Amino acid sequence: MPFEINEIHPTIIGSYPDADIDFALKTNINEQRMNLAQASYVSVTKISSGSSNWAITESAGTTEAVIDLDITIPLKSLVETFSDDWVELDKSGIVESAEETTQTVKDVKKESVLTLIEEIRKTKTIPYSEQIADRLYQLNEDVLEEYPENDLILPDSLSDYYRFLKINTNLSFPSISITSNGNIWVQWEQTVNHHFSIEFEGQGEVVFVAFAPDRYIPSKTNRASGIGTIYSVKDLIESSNVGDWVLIKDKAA
Amino acid sequence: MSNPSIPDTNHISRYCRPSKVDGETPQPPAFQLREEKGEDYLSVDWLEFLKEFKGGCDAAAITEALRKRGLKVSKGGRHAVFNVGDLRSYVKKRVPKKRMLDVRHVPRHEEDSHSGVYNYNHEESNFIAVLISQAIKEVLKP
Repeated sequence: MPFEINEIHPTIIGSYPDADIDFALKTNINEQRMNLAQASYVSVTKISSGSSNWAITESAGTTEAVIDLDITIPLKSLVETFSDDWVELDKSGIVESAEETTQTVKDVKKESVLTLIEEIRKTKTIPYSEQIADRLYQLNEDVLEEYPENDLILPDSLSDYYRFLKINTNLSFPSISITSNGNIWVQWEQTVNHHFSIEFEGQGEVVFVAFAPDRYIPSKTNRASGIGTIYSVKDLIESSNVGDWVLIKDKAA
Repeated sequence: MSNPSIPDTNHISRYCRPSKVDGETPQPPAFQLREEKGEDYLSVDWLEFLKEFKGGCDAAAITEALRKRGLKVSKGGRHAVFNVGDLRSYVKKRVPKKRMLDVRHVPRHEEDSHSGVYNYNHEESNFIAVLISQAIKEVLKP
């Protein structure tokens, strides 16, 4: 349901390490108007550093809430206002017109996904950035064909994958696919006993699966699954003994 | 559960959409339970049933059965084929407590090959999906 930005009275409640692209705002947004009984804050995420599109995501009050991209609008005025002093919000400067909110969520999500893919392509510190971008572009086309009526690659998941790639610049090229709910899934599988996969669930969270030879009894295979964050995967790769086939050989150290 | 189990000697197939296939290889997301749809089993087709009632269990017969159920089948998708017994024992050996998957016939109408892989849940869906992807016997083009 579209809403006017002048109904948001935000204060900063958190940021990500690379806070130049993301931040979260606490609001007193009208719950009924948002049509979400438990909505107590929204997070505001800049789709990319080069874009004026910001995603406003309803949450149910905690970081464990299910992400549900409710509305995405070009928020030039919001950016301008917030970039100077977005704690003390001047309501008069950030009213969005009805026309600006008529772009469908799907259109903006698609645009966001394509923008993010190009960001990945341009980030030369990411190994295989061109190949990864090409694969993601193809997957986006596949998903658009498969689910023309609803699902797309989720920008939040793709954004997490992009941040993950920027943090971990020593990864070999993975298999990439898309889950039914639009999340990015990447995996490295050398044999059935040498497997590491990550599903990017958004909000910085991941679900991982790791199969690897035991360090002490190599004829045995350890198998584990769990949850983590895009920042802790680096430690998981080390502790799960999967680095041999996940990391680029000369960059493993 | 009143649906009959499919014998271990028989075979099943799972249609994997293009976004869940890398090259020719179906990826684990093709075998996740869809939480948003509340799935409690993985939809598959029973190939021996197809052969008996439709006269064939090749890729074309599988594709036709799926389309009759209203599923969109793309050229870029793949049918992942499993031997029921091999799938069950492969997963059993690699999960805690040696739990067995259960494969049952779940027809939605008469002469429907629709079946389900049971006995895993959303919390462990990624782990089991990886194991299922490793137990594929054959991959067919639609």
